[in-house]
Amino acid sequence: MRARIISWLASPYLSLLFRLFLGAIFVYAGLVKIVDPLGFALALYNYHILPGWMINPLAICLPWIEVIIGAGLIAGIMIPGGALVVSGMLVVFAVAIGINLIRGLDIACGCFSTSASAEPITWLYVVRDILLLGMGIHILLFDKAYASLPRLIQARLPKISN
Amino acid sequence: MKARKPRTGTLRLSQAIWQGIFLVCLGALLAAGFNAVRTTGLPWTGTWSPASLAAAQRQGLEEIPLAEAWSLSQAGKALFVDARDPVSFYEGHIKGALNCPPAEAKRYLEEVRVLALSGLVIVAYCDGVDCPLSTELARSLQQAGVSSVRVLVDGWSRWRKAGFPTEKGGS
Repeated sequence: MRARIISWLASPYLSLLFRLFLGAIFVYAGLVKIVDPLGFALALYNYHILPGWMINPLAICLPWIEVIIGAGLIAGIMIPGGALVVSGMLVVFAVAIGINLIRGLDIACGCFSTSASAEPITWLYVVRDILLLGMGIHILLFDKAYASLPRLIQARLPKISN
Repeated sequence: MKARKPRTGTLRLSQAIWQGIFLVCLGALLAAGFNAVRTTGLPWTGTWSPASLAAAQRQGLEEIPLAEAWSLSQAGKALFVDARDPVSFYEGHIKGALNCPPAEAKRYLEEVRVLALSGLVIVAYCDGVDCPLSTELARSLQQAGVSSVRVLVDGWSRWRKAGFPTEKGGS
C-alpha cells in the first residue's frame, strides 16, 4: 500500500500535469506583466526590497523569463532547467511577500495583475507560492519528459528517415 | 561501476543549472529586444524614489503650491477633498475639507462638479510624498469633467506643519 502511494506520488504523469499547470501559470503571469511594464516596475518598487537601479532591468526581463520558462515547461523543452528556475523564483517571491507581510505593508502582489489597487497580499499568497514550489520540485525530481515536443518529434522522425 | 550511474542526481542538477542559465539569458535577451522596439519600453536605468515616483504618477495633473492653496482657501475659492480613509479623516483634516476616498469618488462626483462649476478650485490631498490617493482621486475627478482639480502634494503633513487651520470629526 505504502509503496503504491509512493509510486503514485512520484509518478511522471503527475509531473506532466504539474508541468502543464505551472507552465500555463507562468506564461499567463508573464504576459500580464509584459503588457504593462511600468505597472510591474511600480509593483516591484512597492515591495521596498530592491535597490532603485535594479527595478527597471528586472521589470523588463522577469516577465519574459517567466514566459520563456512557462512555454518551455509546456513544450517539454529544457524541463530540468525550467523547473529549477521556476522553483528558485517561487522561493524568492514567497520570501519577498513574507518580508512585507511581516513588515505589515499593504502592497499589491504584482503576481497576476500589475494594478497597484489590486487586493493586498496575505499569507495565502505565500501558501500558494509554496504549493507551486512543490510542483516545481516534483518536476525537477520525477519528470520523464512525457508528451514533450522533442520526444513527439523524435517519435515521428524514424518513419520519415526510413 | 561508474558506467552504471549516468543520470545521477548531481548530473541532473548540473544539467538543470546550465539549462536554467540558458533560459534566463534567452528571456533577458528577448526582453531587451522587445523593450527596445516597443513604444512603451522602460529605460534600463530608472530612478525610483518616493518623490520621483509620485511626480511620474501626477503626469498630466497640476500641482498646487502650499502657499497658493492657503491663499485660495483664505479667499474662499478652494474646496479641499481629502483622499485618505475615513478614520484618518476623522482624526484630523484640513478645515472645511470633504472626505472623498478614491474608491468612493463617484458618490461625491456631482457635488464636487457643481462646486467646481461655481468657480471653486478643487484641491485633492492625502498624506506623504508618495501617497497615491490624492493623485487617483484627482484623476478620476478630472476624467469626470472637473477640470479645475489640483493636487496638494504631501498635503496633510505640510498643512499641519505650517500651522494652518485643521479640524476633527466627520464631514
